[in-house]
Formats: sequence, C-alpha cells, structure tokens
Amino acid sequence: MTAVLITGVGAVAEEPRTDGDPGPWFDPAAHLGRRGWKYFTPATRYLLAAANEALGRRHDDPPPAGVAAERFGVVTGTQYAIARVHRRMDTVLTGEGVHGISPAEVPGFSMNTPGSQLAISTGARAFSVTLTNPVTAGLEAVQFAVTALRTGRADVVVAAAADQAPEDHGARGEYDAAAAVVLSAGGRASGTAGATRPLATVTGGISRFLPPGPAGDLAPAALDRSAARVAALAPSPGGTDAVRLLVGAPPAAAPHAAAVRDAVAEALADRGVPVRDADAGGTRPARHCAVSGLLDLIGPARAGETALVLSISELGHLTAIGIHRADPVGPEFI
Amino acid sequence: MTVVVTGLGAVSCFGSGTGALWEGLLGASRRPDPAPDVCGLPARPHLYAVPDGDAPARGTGRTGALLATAVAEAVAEAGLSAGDLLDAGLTVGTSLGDIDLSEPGVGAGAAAGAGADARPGAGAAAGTGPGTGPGPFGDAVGVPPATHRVAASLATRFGIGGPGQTLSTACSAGAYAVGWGAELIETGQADVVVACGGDAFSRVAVGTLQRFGLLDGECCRPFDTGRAGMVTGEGAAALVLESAESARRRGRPVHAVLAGHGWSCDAHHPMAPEPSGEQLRRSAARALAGIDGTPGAAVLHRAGVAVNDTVEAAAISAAVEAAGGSGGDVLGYAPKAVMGHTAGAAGVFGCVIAALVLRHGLVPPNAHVTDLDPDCPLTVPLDRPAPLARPSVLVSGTGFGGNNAVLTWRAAA
Repeated sequence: MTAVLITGVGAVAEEPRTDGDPGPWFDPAAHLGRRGWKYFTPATRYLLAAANEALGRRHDDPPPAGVAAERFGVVTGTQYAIARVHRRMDTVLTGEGVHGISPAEVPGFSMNTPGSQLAISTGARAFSVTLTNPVTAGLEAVQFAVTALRTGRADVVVAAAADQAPEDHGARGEYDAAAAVVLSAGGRASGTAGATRPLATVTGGISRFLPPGPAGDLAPAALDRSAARVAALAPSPGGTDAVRLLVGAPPAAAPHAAAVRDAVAEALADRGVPVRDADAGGTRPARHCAVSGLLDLIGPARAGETALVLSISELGHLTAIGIHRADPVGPEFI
Repeated sequence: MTVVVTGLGAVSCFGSGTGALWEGLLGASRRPDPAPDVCGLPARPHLYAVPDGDAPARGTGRTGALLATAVAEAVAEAGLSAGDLLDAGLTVGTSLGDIDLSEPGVGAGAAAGAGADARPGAGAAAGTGPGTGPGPFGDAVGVPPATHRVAASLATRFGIGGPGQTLSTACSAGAYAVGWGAELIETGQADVVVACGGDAFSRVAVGTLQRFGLLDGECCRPFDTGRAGMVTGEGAAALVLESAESARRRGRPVHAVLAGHGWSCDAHHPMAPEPSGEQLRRSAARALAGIDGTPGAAVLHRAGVAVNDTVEAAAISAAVEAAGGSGGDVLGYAPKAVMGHTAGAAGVFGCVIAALVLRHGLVPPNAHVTDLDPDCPLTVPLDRPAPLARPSVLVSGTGFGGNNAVLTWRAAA
C-alpha cells in the first residue's frame, strides 16, 4: 500500500484571552502580504495562512514546484465558512433588498470558497473538495487525502481546515483557526519544494458514526466495534514506540469522548500496544470548530511521534488518524 | 473493485419516488412555480418546488426531510437490513444543508409543509440525542449550526454506522458524494455506501444568484438559444452503492455498474469555469477510460448559463473524440429544464437518471426548446424519448470554484 507522508504543517489559531485586549488576533498583512486578500472572508485568510506555512511558500509566490498541478489536490474541512456571510445577506435581503448585496461578497456565500481560493492560489488541479461535518471535518480532510493518495487521484494533497467561530464564540467557547498538513504519496512524489524530509508517516484514517442513545450513552457493541477499528490504525505491536492517544470533542460531548477514549485504550491493550502517558488520560476540549482535530494532529506530526488522534462531535461523528515517526528516508524521497 | 448500484431514491418537483421522477422527465413539460419568498427582488422568483406533501418535516429542516425521503426509498429498494447498515457508509452532497432553519419566515408561502419547522431552532424538535437543541444562531448552548447537521440526522435515523462525510463542493457536491462513496468501497472502508444529495429553497441563495445575473426569469431552458440563466429547484436523490461481491452475496439485482469517475479542479475563478474546459475534459477522459467505446448518452450538468453550458458540452465532446468517438453519437440530456438546479442534489440526480435511462433504454426528450442551441456538438433529443443506442451513460457535475466530477455508468451484464 502507498506510504503516505506528512511533509509540512501549518496553523493559525485564536486562543481565549484574559488580558481584555479587544484587538484582532490575526493580522492578514503579516501572513498574506499587503494585497490580494481584501475580498476574502476571514476563514479564507486563515486557511491561506496555514496552508502557505505548511507548503513553505508566501501568498504571492507561484504555485508550489515539485508536483504537477494535475497531481496536486486540496481538501478543506469547515463548518462555519458561510455562517456570518449568510446572516448578513439575509438581513440585507429582507431589509433593503437584493441591491444591498455587494457582488464582491457573493463568493463568500459558498462553503467551498475558502478551499477554492486555496486551490486557485496554489494551482491545485487534481481536486478541491470541501467537507462540512461539524467538528470532525478537519480530520476527515486527512482521511480523504490519504484515500485519494492511495487510489492515485493525486501525488500531493493539502489537507486543511478553517473556521471563523460565531460571534461571542458561539456562546460555547469556540474560537477561530485554520490548520493544514501537506501529505505526499511515498515513492511517487518528493513533496513540494522546500520539504526537506518527511515529518511523519500516516498509518491510516477512518470515520464512524456513533450516535448517543436517548440517555446520552453509547451502545456498547457499536462502541467496541469502532474502538477496535481505531486501535487497528496503531502500528503493530513489537515496535518500540508507545502510542500517544489524543481524543478531542466539544465540551458538551466530553463524557461521550471519555467513553470512546477508554474503549480505544482497552482495544490497544488487547493488541499489546502500550499507550504513552496513560495516566495522563482524559480528553481535550475541541474549541476550534472543525479545525480542532487537525490542530491536535499537528503537534505529534511535527514531533514525529506515534499517535492516534481522534475527533468526536456531539452528534456522533468520529474520525481517527494514526501517525508514526517518519520511515527512514529512502531513495524515493529525494 | 467493481461498484454497483442496488437502490435508487428521489424526491423532486415531481413528488416522491423514482417512478414519479421518470414520468416527469418523460413528460418534459414541467415549469417552475413562484418561490415561497420574494428574496429581496421586485417580484417572486421561480422555483421548481417539491410539493408540500412530499417534504414531510420530521424534526429536521426541509433538506433533511427531503434526504430522509430519498434515502428511505433507496435503502428499501436495496433490501438493506439494520444489520447491513451498521458498517455502511454515508456520503452526503449538499450546498446549504438545512439552511431554512437559519432563514426566519421562509416556508410561510408555497413551502407551507416545511413552515412549521422553518423557524430557527425547530431542528431540535425531534431530538437526535445530546447536542441537539435550538438552532444555529446564538439561541442555545452546545449546538453546532443546523445547516450541516443533515448527515448526522440521516445516520441517526437510519442507523448508518460506518464512514460518513458531507461534501460541499458547490453544485458538483452530489457528483463528488457518489465518487467519494465509490472510493470508500474501492479502498475497503465499506462494502455498502448510501450516497445522497439534497438541497431545498434558500432565500439567500436565490437572491445572490439573481444579484449575479444567473437566474432566468422564465424557466430553465438549457438547450434554447434564448436561455438566460438557471432556475433553482428543490430535491434529494440517493443511491445505494455496493461492491459487486456484496450485491452478489446479498442476492440483490444490480441497476447500474460504475465504470469510471474522474475529478478535477479548474483552479481558475471562484464562480466561473475556466474557458478552455481543459480540466473538465481531463476528468471526463478519466471517466470514459472505464467504458468501451462511446457512451450512449450524457446527463449533463447544463443549467441554462450559456458560458458554462458551452464549456461543458465542448469538453465532453472533446473527451469522447479523444477516445475515438464522436460527440454527435452521444445523446445529450439536460434534466434541469424540468426540475431546476437542485444544487448539491444535482449530481446524485444525474446518476439516478443515468440508472433509469439504462433500465428503460430511453433518453427523455429535452424540454423548453424553441430554438435549439446550434453550438452543442452532442445530439439533442427533442419532442419524444430517444432509444439508447449503447448501454452506457456519462454524468457530469461542475460547480463554483471549478469543481468538476464526471462519472460513467454501464448496464449490468
């Protein structure tokens, strides 16, 4: 099976602030230069900033070298891409009528526009797909990219996510962010220019649907089934690496996520795979909307750690990505 | 691995069921209705609306209700049991999901069937477990926005426990949902995938399309030289995709076989196609590589926007010719003339229609043509159904952002 390598990562994220500073957390000019982003939505600007960092390019650079445009794809997760634009347009339409809408903002009313702007900016012509399941769409982008690399639809894919949280942080503690990882098919592409060595190898990705029952609990059989599949993404036992297990979910789904975490830890134990920092268990609050899981993946990817990263939504979506330290650089990775 | 279709479902302006869809397409006469909202325009725009009784609100927004209707039909036809669905996949193409839950007042008119559910937060009513609550904008804690919860409500309702994604590649979302569903099967991530797409009326969508001059004020007439844009439509469509081995094991009849599918992105403009159509041609070429010879018909994305229509027909014709055929040997069909542009559902409708064309061996006549577009290199059936000369059908999907997906289907052996 095609080895999938992570060759670059990038992220921008708003964090809760306690200093009372009301200023913007993100300076587009610092990331994107002085021109060319005025009509982009905030989520689009974040996405470009994160993806450019992952690709090691500047916004006004030509498309990345090292991969043909037709073999280069983009997949983007988002849940709120159009939320604010939609509300503003609806207010304008029902108030002053259609002429109150500026044509320049119309593209912002399509969920795929952030991803499409990234594809335009980077010249990605293999595909540009936008995924929109709440919370999990960011990690789903990695699952999608890994699958597309394995079926030969591209040689390099940027898997990314971007969201602008609702006003007042959605009354549930959500924050803006974007993150991106560059994935390449080992043996087929060297990654984009500037990637000097792979950071990590992706073992695989899966998604499942595990809806909470009427009492908020998970059906045990379905939970075990899913946990076994997640555990199977870990490297085979016998290796020297213990697995770091990172499980993220919105605070409302924390009990649900804890049950999944315990079931996955048990399934790993059944396979003889040790969990690193097992005593430091627990789950992580997913505060960055559909970007959360991808943000969780970036740390271990950058460090080349063996890890299973899970993203879980309140509604029942579950996505997991497995990584381990990069395979030794072979002749295929030049 | 071969991917086949064992179940079809649809709800459209013709009502519920693939039978009603096929009759409506053969009738070739449907025109749009007034939309349920004036959308900030001087007069009510047009809409190919789903009849109220065919959009039962069941605790979701209108798109969720339409999708549930289409998926129920497809799952029943495929004979899938609850056990079969435990590990099945679910891929959903939608542009706007349950957008009506975020558009207060929509549904008070022609879409009265959804009206009771059209106020913000109504999606909470039936409950899909913890996390379900009043909806999208600032009126409750602990709830993601309603618009893109349709996949979770479908998975919960039908007990679909395997891999699932919502794809929102604008107007090609449905074509990508089918292609991605096939990828899940081809890579062993699922044996069975319910691939579906749906979108319902949105005041903001219609208003902004009008702002861009993309709407035809009369009706959708993609093959007429007088065409002046698209007309939106409501609907949902579903396919049960399955590995050929799974269908054989379950003893289910096969309606169509996926022969190939290609994806590409223009990387050109957020709203307009790249004029040469090179990337669309490339995805068509990949899809055509899966069939022998020239497809008998092409179910086109063609929506009445002249530039897009011309680029699409030229690109597909060029791909057919590069494969040794002639565009004139392909029967071009544009269903949007009688059902409108159903956005994220359109690509799935294209595939359902392809399966029906293969089943009946007929291509429905193109509707609302007074003066035929002389620039279309494909053969355009008019006035009466045309026999399908070869048992293969191409389906194309394009969307804002230059997101192209092309699939080819052939009849079961």
